This record gives sequence, C-alpha cells and structure tokens, in this order.
Amino acid sequence: MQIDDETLMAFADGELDPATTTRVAAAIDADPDLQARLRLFSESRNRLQAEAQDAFAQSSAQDAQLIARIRAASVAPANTAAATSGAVDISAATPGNINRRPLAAIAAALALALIGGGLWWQLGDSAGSARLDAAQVAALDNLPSGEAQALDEQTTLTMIASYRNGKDELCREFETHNATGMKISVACRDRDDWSPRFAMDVEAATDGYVPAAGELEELDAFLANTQAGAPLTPEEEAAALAE
Amino acid sequence: MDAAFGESLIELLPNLRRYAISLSRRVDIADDLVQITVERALANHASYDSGMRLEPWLFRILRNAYIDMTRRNRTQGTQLDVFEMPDIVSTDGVATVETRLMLHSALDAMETLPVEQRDILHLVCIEELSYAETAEVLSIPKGTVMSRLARARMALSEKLGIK
Repeated sequence: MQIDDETLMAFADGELDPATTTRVAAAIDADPDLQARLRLFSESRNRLQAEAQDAFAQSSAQDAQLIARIRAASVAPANTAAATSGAVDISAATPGNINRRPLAAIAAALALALIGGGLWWQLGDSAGSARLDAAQVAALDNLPSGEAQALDEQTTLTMIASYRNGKDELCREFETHNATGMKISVACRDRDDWSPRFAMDVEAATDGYVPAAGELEELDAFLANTQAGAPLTPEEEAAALAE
Repeated sequence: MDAAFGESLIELLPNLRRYAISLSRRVDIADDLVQITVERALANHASYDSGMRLEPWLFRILRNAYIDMTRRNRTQGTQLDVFEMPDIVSTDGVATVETRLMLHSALDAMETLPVEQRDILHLVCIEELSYAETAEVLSIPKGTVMSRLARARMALSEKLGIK
C-alpha cells in the first residue's frame, strides 16, 4: 500500500477516519520504512509539545489587568439604564451619579483640585462603604494580585496590583464586583493597618462595558499624584506582604 | 456577556500569549496582541458560535490583529508564500549549512523556520488544533494546511536530526 507523507502525518495526528486509520496502521506494522517516516511526524510534534510546556509558562505583568477587565465585562447588569461614575475626595465630596460622558472634564477638575489641595487624597465619609471590612483586610493581607476572592454571596474582590507610593508605603489596588457594577479602590498600609485612600464606583452600561483601569482618569490622576511606583512583581509583592 | 465566556477567555490567556510570542517573537508586541485580542473578543462575543471551540475563534482574532499590525508597520514588502512554491525553497546554500548545525531544542529549531511554518506548527503541535480548525484560523483550505504542515514537520525533523 502506497502511503504519502500527508497521510502518514494525519495518522500521527489522529486526523484519519477509523477505516483509513486501520488500513494505515496495518501498513505501518508491515513496513519498517514507514515506521521510520512516521517518527518524523510523531517526534516533531512530541518534542515541540514537551518543550512548550516549560518555555511558555511565564505569565505577563498585564495578566491581572486583563483578567479584571474581562471579569468586569462579565458582570453586565440587564437593566442599568446609563453608565455612571463618581469619584470621591474630601475637597469635592461629589456625589456619584454623574454621567460618564463628561468624564474627562471631571478628571481634569479633580486633578486640579488635587494639585491645588495639597497632594493628599483621603476618603471622606461620603464614600459610604469605603471603610474596609474584615474580609477586605484579609484579602489585602493575603490575596496575590491577579486573584479573586468572594467577599459575600454577591460580591467578589479582585486584587489588581501592588505598588509602593511616594512615601514608600505598600499600596494595593483592587476591585469589588457585584451584580450592578464595580468599585475600584486603593488601600495603603500605614504601620500595620490598611487605610482606604481612593474609591470610585463604576456602574456597567447596558452593553457590559466597563473601562479598563488605564482608561479611568481619576484613578490615573490619583496614582500620579501619590507618586505610585511600578507594580511589584509577584515575588516582590509576596515579600512586601510578609513584612 | 455571560461569565462563562469571560472565564474561558481568562483560562486561554496563556495560550493567546504564547501564540502571540510565537508569531511576533517579541514579548512586548505579544502583550499588545493579547490585549487587542481580549478587547475584540469582548466587543464581538455575540458573534462567537458557542457550539465551536473558543480557541480557534480567539487565535483567528489574534492572528488578524498581528497581520494588521505588520501591515501598519509596513516593514515588509509584498509577501509571496514560498511554501506554496516548493521549487524556490532551499536552492541557496544557507539551508544546507543550517541543517549541518544540529539543533537540540525543537523550539529553537522551530524559530529558524519561516513564519508560515512556525505558525502552523504552533497551532497544530503546541495548541493542538485540528486541521479543520487550523484551516479556519489561517483562512486556507484544509489541503493546504496538510501540505504546509507536512513540509514544516519534515524541515523541523531534519534540523533536529530525527531520522
């Protein structure tokens, strides 16, 4: 039986129908030359696969952000009429429910307020649920960036990144998701306690679109203003959390 | 968008990344490609047929993004698929010299192959797509997948000294 290379390869890859597989297998059994040629195809595949397991295992620094982005898009509520966003600080104490469209203007105003207001952004009581509860503190103490943890039945906390700010405090950015939207928060470790420094509610629009952190100008302004350093690597983060 | 789609997408991020690295050979570009792919997948998830596997659908988005990118970069002139014209392959002395340098790592050996061959080896041998799925990703007929893949496997085996 004449068997060409492509058929032999398809046999090695399990791409032949059962009848042809049986015929080809019988032919290979009877022919050492075919066995040798089959090895060209089976070995090349096996070796690539074996090496790829190790070679491509490393993850990327942007994975955490992408995961948060995907999870945020997954929690699209069925009936939110409009996307809203509000950021809170002591100087402006602006309530939420500001339409997202003039976001750039708000961000610009907030950035100015920050620069004018003396570089310190602390959450006021108007943030409402901005205080950290025990579950959030536990997550801040233990949860590696890129991982998510359920806070209660409705709410999931996703750790985004850890970094050090201009005062060399360890800070962690995280998101809390529930059915109607998400909140982006930053907390920093002040001696042994975590204190909330930034919080911003983002409600998902009907199409489920929630902007990635990089698109949130308030957050960017906050990070820039507190001289946030580059995100820590997983090893650096683990070491910092253990301090 | 349902959460299951999102979770499947998250699970495939490493696969997307290694395919992106394989195509572009650059970690920074690979990151960009994965990000673009995620954005496009989220924006177009409605057009994903849930009866199909997600991998080929995503790889196709990623590959198209890569092609867009290289077009935009305009670093290349008109590309001819030399692998569909076997008579021009290996007529220079370089190939002969290269085969004498035995490569021990299959991935290193794959790196020395032209992008069309790397691409197809990656999709079939590393990501384990079927021939039909690979044809879909590459927008070529299944017969072409088989002939190109067979040539790539022979070239790889030769470099690895598999006899």
